[in-house]
Amino acid sequence: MRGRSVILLSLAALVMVGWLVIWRRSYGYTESTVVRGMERRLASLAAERVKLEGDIRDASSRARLGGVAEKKLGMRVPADTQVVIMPRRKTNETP
Amino acid sequence: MKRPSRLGILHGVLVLFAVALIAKAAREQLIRGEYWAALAKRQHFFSSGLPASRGDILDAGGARLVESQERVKLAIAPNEVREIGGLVRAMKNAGIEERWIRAVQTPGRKWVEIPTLFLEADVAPLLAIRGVHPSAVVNRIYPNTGGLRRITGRIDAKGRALDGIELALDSVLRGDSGSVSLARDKTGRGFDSPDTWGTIPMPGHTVSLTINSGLQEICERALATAVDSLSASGGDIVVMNPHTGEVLAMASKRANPAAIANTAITEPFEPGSTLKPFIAAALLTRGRARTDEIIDTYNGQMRMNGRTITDVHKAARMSLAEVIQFSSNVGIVRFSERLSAREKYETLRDIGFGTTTGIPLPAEAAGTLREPARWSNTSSASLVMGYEIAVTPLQLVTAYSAIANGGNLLEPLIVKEVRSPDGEVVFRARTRVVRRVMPQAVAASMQVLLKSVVQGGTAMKADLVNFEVAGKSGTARRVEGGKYLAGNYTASFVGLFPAESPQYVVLVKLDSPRNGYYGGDIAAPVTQHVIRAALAARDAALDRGGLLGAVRKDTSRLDSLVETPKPEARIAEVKAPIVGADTIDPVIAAPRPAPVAATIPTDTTLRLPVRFRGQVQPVDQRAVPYVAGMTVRDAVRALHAAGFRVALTTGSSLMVLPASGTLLPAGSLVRLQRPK
Repeated sequence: MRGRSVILLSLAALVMVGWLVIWRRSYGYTESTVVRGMERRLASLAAERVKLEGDIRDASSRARLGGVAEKKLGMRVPADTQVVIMPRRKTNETP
Repeated sequence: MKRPSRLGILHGVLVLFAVALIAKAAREQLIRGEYWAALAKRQHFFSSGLPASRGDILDAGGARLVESQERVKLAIAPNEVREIGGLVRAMKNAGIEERWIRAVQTPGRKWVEIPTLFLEADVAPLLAIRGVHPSAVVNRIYPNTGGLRRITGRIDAKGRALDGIELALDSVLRGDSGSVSLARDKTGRGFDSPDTWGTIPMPGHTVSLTINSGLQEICERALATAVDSLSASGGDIVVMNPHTGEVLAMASKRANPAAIANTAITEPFEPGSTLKPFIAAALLTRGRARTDEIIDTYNGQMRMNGRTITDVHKAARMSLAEVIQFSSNVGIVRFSERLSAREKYETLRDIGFGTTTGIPLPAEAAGTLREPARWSNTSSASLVMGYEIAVTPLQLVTAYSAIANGGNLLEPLIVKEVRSPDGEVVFRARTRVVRRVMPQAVAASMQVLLKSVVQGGTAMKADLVNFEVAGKSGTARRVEGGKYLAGNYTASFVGLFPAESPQYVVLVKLDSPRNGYYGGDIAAPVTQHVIRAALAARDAALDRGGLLGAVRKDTSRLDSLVETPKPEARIAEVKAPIVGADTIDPVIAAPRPAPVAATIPTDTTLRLPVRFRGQVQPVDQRAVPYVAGMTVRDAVRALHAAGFRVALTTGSSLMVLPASGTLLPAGSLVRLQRPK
């Protein structure tokens, strides 16, 4: 009887270890798939960010806005007399 | 001997079989184990390349000029698709071109590759369909401005660098590709597994340029306007910080849109009179002339070796200072006779002509500077007038920077620093003095002479009201097919701003302009516009604290009372046929110095005109009223009420020229453009 118990326990332990190994691998597959999916999503969002930043840059560029400002708003590049350069206030001066 | 029983034989055979089996197994496991492991690995896993993200290219302020973006390229195997209808719907929803949709439906097609690059989010539903094979591609996003793209360069569809910074710094920018292994499922599709392995791709380094993108845009816009208005075949603008050698802006434009080379470094031109200051500097350096030394200039006409040399500003005698101020060909040729051919050659060679500057950009031209042994009998005179020599715009700006910084020829810088992907600085540019080309005192004298060119010489149109500008204009005939063509000129102006302690050296060069050709008349106003726009810009690489000290103390000149409209308008007005250098400035009301009479008694001291600085009658200045949003009738009424005469023109929108806010004398004619 003792011998049979030992064999039974050994078999049970073997099955348990086998199950643990399979569970660990399955868990690994699932997690790595999730991680890869998130990495792809991150890359996709980063690509979209780059595109949107580029669009903003183009839309706010002088080449785009300058023409519009001059034609539609009548704006122009100021003469140098119209540009006032303020001297930097010294740190001990009060406003 | 006992005969073995049949059972014994059977046992023996079984034992032998078992031994053979074990031996075979031992062989396969112990001897050929590695081979089988590798084979299994090949069958169960496959490796997929991971492209490295190419490094970004930034401007001096850290703004991204070029960056990489991961995109997806699709290939479809129609045979693997279970429901072709679903695939077609997904393709239509993703906005894929009709011809590719037709291609996947064509019977017999086994593989369809779509060359378009997609954002993964845009084609996500397609990626879930069996038979759709995506591959990651790193796409390069370039600035929209063509001028900047000439500097940054490009890469081709396969990621190979073609030109510009992309090519020059390819090894730094491209990074190291990685790879990932994926387990293969029964259908052959890859999936991640804890057993997989791979190498992480290393992104490329980030390269920061010395270019200021704000100033670059200003230059590109000014150049485009000038080239269009003057019907020129092209042009270049280069702006350099003369104290560091940093190229702050480098804009090029050609009428032919297919021309995408960075012509500011690849296309040499004959500089004409912009070369004269270097001959003057050589004379001063060697003590062969003084700036106030007067020489006969033969009323602006001289015959030499069977060739007639003429001046636009004709005078009987001129000092060296006036030779530069009024760009006298006769004067510079006469003064340069005090230099030997070898000395002239060495002067120009030392200033950097005839050799590349060393800027880290591909295809830089060295220009042309021939050895004296290869000169003809007219070469010596031609050379000092800026002919028979070819320089690139960058070489010329670098040479003028030497005058601006006190005599040091600097190596031009375009790359400011290089950082590794983890932010560590792996390279930082340092100002490098190539050689001293003139003593500091001579450079200071040259700055004074160049200031006189703008204050009362050939390039008054570059001047500003609040700041002094120095510079030199140049007008040179262009060669085509080995001959100088009549009416075909290169107009140029190199400006130093401000004249004292310059922060910018600006070169404007216009090729074959049709509506005017003198550098002082058409290139100088473009320089003025660039400087004005830079002053008004938030960040254009100007030290405003330094500019405070450069503000003109004396602004009592007549033209200080008159505002000039934007240069587009000025350039448009220059379209009227230009008779000569004495053409009346259509905008600045300050009196242009009258040219000295052609017949001046040779025994009198020549006094060339200087800019009018006396007391002026106060002028009733009025601001052009703001008319946006008004009806045409109200706008006319407002303009009349403000004391202006009105000329109606038609255009796309209601606007007034000069623009609202411009100060003009009462009674001036303003144009009101009404919508069609």
